[in-house]
Amino acid sequence: MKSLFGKAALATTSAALLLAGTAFNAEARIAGTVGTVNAATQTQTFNLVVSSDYITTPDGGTVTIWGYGEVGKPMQYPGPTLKVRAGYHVVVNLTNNLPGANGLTTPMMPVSMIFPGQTGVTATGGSAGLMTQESNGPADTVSYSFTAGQPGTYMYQSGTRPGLQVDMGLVGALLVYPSTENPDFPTKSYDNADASFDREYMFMMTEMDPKIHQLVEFGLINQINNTLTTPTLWFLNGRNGPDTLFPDFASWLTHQPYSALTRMHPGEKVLMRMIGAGREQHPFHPHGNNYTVIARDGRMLKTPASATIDLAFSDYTFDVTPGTTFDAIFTWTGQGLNWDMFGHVAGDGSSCIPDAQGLHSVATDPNYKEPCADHLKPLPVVMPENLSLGFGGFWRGSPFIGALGALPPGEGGLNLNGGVVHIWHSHAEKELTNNDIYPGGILTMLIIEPYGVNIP
Amino acid sequence: MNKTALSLLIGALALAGGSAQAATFNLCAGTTSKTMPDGVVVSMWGFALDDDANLTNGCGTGVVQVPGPALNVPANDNTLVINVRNDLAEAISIVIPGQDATTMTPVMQLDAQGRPRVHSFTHETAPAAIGTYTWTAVAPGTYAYQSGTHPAKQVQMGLYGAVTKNFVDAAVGVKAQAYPGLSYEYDNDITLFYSEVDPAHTSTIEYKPQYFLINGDDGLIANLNPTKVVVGQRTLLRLINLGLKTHAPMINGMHMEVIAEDGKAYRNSQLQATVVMEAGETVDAFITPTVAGSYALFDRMLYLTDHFQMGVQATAALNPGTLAVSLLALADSDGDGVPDVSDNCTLVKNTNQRDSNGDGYGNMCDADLDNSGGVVNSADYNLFRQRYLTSDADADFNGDGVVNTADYSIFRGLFLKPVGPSGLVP
Repeated sequence: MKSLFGKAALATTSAALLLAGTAFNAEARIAGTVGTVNAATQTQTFNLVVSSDYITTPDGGTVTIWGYGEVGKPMQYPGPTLKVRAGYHVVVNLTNNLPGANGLTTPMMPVSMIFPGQTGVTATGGSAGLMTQESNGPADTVSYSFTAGQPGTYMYQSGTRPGLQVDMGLVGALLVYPSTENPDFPTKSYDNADASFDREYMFMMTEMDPKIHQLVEFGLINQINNTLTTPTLWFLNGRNGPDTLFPDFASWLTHQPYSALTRMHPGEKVLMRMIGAGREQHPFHPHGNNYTVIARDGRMLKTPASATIDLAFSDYTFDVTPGTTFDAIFTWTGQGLNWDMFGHVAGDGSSCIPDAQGLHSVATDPNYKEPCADHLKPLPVVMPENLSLGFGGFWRGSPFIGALGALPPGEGGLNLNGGVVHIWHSHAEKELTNNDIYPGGILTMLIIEPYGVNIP
Repeated sequence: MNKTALSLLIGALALAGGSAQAATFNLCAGTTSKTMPDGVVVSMWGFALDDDANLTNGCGTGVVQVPGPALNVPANDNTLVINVRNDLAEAISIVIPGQDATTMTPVMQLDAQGRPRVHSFTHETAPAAIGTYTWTAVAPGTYAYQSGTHPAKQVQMGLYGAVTKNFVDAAVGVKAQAYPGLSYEYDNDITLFYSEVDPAHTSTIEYKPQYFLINGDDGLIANLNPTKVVVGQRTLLRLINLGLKTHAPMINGMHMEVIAEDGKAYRNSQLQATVVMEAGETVDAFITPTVAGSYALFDRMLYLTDHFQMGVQATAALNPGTLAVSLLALADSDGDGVPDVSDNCTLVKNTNQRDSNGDGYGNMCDADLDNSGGVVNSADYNLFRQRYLTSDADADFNGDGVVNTADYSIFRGLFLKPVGPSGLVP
């Protein structure tokens, strides 16, 4: 992919560029848009339209939503992830293409955008609303502009009746990358070595009360009582589990383009950008290891004088609160298992040469980053017979990473590379359902793939 | 001694600085009602502030309000005394979670199985009685007082209010300090008290609040305390949540520097766009706007509509609902802490606002000594020369008591320019 950013950016990311293929999503980075980039004037322009359409839920249902979408592309939930570079001038042109109530051509309601966490946002066009300028129709474009501030994870949302419009879908992510980074191929999220990563993923948590959406669809907005909102659908990146596992831009999820499947190699640093974009708190919970929280609301957890992110802390369940973003670094090596997760046996020619962390240091070996303390240690239990097991689609027939074992006909199939799989989910258990049907909701998987498996 | 004299004496005692005093507040608990936006009248319980320090005759002109009167304990007072007259039909009490109380004697009753059950965290004040509650080591910070008796019911009914105390109070030349340390200095403070109303009052189990209040207001609070938020000045937001729901105030347009929770300062402050307040929690946060304008502070839990509003929003009145506050940050062009709209010299620093001739132009920008209006000209220059080395108040621009070379250099800067500008003179 040709970067839309200037030569300075190319220089800093030449290695990433060489590896990049031609597909939009060729690197393990967060799907989104950089808009129209003018490197000469350091401006990124986004043209967005709010319109109404349907999303699908894994039980086969559909829900009416309002969503932001780029001009010429499907509207989507959540709105397009806007990826900008710190210091760039950002222009967002917003047009309201909502249908009219009861057949009227005037939209049922004005819409707008606010960018909490950014300073000096100006809005022109449209008409004045309570929080910002609002667009009242297809011919009424509001232009929001600001200079992208400090790097970090932010959200944008409707500033017009947000109690209703955020539930209807008018919310999205704004990612500001350091000025030295190319948003197409980022390597760190803040101007600090502690914020460097190998891969980054977004986890935007929202929820919906379908009753509200039905009333909107039927033109009965007047009957909505937001004080009695009772969500029954919970979303990660705009999808309910297990749809969260489908790839970005899956063709059958036209209006829900963003995956939440997380893949990594052992020892890699994964940046988790967690965003509370709905109206409820969600205790998001990775299995496999603790993560280290490094930033909140786009501000590093550090004392002003410190060169490092000295206030970062380790945790494994954190309440992702509405209006709040958390950046966390997650890694996994299998260290401390007390058995050889590769299933090595003496004489098989494998080696383990520890680095400073005690992990195998030869990057060309298939067991790169293996915890050497456990090298050659046998699995401490006898694997039960298949007749004694219940099967999930991710079970590969072997406890060892990169290994596949015999499975009964019809079992397995979701873990073709023999990765180690962990569930990541909201620990508020009701949020693991889709309208009371388990499994669903805020649920996705982490797959730790063996080295040699290309993670797109 | 008559009542007026008594209250004057108490006022004088309260003003006596230096030595530690007891801060005493006299309250009446009583009933009131609030009319909600849909016209529903909700009966509530609240507190009134007595007008004469004599509770035996009731609270006089004091009006029962929800939340109750904000109690600000002077920084040099360690002891807080709340006397309360109970005009309700059931016993009440007052507790301040987070503040050390001298003694707390729980009140129990026996349930049907004969087991003792606590129904009050501390001693009660019976109907028509006057009770006293004392705290002898009041810590600085943002707190709330509330009923400690049947709190699941009485707090929901409205028996709550703010208790605040600075580490250092503001005085001439001294900035207020919220907590020990210069990093906690601030210029202004705003208390935002979040609560909710479930008009059914059925129970806290089936709790479904229909109205969401800030400082007891059931509607949008536009431009709250606009004179308090000034560009370049640091405003302390004292956020208190006595509702039963979690609230998450989010500010649009800047970050808040969150400095304290439940009246205790963090070891390190944190910049946040959103703060989280669970039930009963208080949060202190600084904001320092750098750009003049309106800043929305709204509950990101999206409790933004009252029960009624959707019903009337069919037409153009797209009212966004409650729990949204618009903080209007006023411009301060000269950075003297006085916002332009009320600054008698908008472009010259004059924190003391000295205006000896009272024409609305501060002396620092008023060399129009003949009050002819318009441009400072040679007539003004002649007057200045005549008054040179005198103590003429008008020609003493810097207010140091004498018209000297310092004033002359100010005069030269103003010569041949229009008087002002002043925010007080259109």
